[in-house]
Amino acid sequence: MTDSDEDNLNFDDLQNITKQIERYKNDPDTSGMFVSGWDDADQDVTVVDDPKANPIDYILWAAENGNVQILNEILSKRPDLVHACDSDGYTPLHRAAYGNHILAIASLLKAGANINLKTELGWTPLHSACNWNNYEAVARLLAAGADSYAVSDGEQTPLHLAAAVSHSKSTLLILLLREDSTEIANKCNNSGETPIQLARGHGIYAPIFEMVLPAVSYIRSIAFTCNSYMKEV
Amino acid sequence: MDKETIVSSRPDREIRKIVVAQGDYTLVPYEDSRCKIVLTNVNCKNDSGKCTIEEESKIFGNNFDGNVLIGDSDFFIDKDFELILQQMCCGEKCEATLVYRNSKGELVKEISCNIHLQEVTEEQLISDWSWQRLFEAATHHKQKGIQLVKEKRFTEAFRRFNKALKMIIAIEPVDPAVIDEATVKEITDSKIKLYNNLAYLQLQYHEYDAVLQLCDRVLKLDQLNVKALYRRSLAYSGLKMYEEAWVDVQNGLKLDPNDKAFQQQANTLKPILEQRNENYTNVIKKMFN
Repeated sequence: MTDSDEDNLNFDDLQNITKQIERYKNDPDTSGMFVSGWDDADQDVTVVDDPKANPIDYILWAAENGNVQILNEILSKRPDLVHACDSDGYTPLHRAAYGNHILAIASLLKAGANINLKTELGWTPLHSACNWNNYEAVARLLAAGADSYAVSDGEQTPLHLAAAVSHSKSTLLILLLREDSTEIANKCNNSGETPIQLARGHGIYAPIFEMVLPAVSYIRSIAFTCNSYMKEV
Repeated sequence: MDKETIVSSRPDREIRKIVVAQGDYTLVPYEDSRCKIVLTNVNCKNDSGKCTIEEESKIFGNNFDGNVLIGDSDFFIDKDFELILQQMCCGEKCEATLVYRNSKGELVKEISCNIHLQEVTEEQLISDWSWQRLFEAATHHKQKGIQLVKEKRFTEAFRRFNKALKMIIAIEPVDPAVIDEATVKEITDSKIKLYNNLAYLQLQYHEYDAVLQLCDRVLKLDQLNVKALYRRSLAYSGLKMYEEAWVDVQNGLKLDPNDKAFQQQANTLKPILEQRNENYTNVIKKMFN
C-alpha cells in the first residue's frame, strides 16, 4: 500500500507540473521559454575569443552586437567586407537581423549588402529575423526588398519560421498584412506543412491566420482582385 | 547602383525599380506614413504605342499634389505604386516600371516613371499600434469600402474590407481586462459586418463557396444574423443545394415572416423542391412497380 500511495503522490505532482507548463505555454509573456531548439540554425555558432583578431570576425561581431560605429569604421576601410561570411554562410546582414539591430541593418544596406543572400542552410537575413520575432528587423528587411517567398533547404519560407515559434505575433502581423501572405501561408515545406498548419501545432496565435483565408483575401484570385485588366475578356 | 530589382512579381503584373540616388536608409515608409514625392518622366505604352493611364488613378492624375498616404489608395495602379514607395527610403530617387497583362497574357500597359521620395513621416510599425488605433483604422477602411460599394467599385471595396478585417483580427485575442464590454461588442459587430460585406462582394461574382465560408463565420458569432442567412441561402441555391437553402429561408422567415427577400427566395425555391420531390417519388414508384 505504501508503494501505491507514493505513486499517487508522484502522479498528482506530475499532473500539477503539466498543468503549470500548459499555463506558461499559453501565457504570451512566458511562452517564449518553450521554443523548440531542434531547427535552430543559429545554434552552435563558433565562439570567437577575440573578434578583432580577424577582420571577418570583427565585422560579423559588430553587426551581431549592433555596434554601428565600429561597423561603419570597418566598412569605410574595407567596403568589400559587407559580403563577408562565416563558415556557415552567415553574412553581417544575417547577424544584424539575428540581433534585431535596425541601424546596423541600415548601414549594411547602404554599403550594398545583398538582401537575399543565403546561408549554408538556405536562410536569408529575413529568415533569421523571423525566427527570433525581430519584427523591426523584419519590417526593415522587407522595405529593402527582401524576398518573402525565399525558401531555405527545408523549403521553409520566413513565414514558416515565424508560424512555428510560439512568441511571434508582432512578426506575424507584419507578414500577414501583406497581400502576398495568402499564397505563402498555404505553401508546403519539405515535410508537407504549411505555415497555417505549423501555427496550429506550435504557436498560440493560430487564429491570426484567419487574416489569410482565401475567402477574405481575394475574389477568384489575387490577380483578378488586384489587376482590373484580368477582368477584361 | 544601376542594378534593376524586382519590387513585386506576379504572372499578370511585374514591378521593378532601379536606384538612381541613394537615400537615408534609416527612414522608410510604413503603413500610414505620409510621403511627399516628385514624379517625372511618366511614360505609358503597349505594343501599339503610347497609351493613357485611367483617370481613376490619383497618383498619375493631373491633380496629384505629390502626397501619398501609405495604405490609403484604392485604384489598383496606385496601390501598386505604393508598393514601390514601401521599398524606397527617404531621399531616394529611382526609375520605376510597372507592367500589366490581361487574362490572355497580353501586354496591356507598361508604365515607367522617375520617383523622388522627398519626405516620409516616421510611423510606428503596425505590431506596435494600440488596439484603439487598430480599431480606428479598421473603421476608416470599412467606411471607405462602403463608399466604394456604392460606386460599384467592387474589387477595390473588397480590398478595403479585407484590410479592415485584418486590423480587427490584429486586436484579438481581446483582453476583457483592457477593453470594456461595450467596446468588445462594437469590435465583434464590426467583424460581423465585414464578413457580411465580403460575402456580399463574393456573391456579386458568383463565388458561392467563399460566400458559404463567410456566412458560416458570421452565423458562428451571431446565429440569427438575417443578412448572413439570406446570402447563405442564395449561395446554397447557386450550388444547387436546394434543401440547405430552404432551411436558411425558413429560419429567416421565422425571424421576420414579412421579409420580402426571404419570401421571394422561398417562392423561387418551392417549385424546384416540389419538382425534385415529384421526380424522387416517381423513381421510388418505378422501383416498386
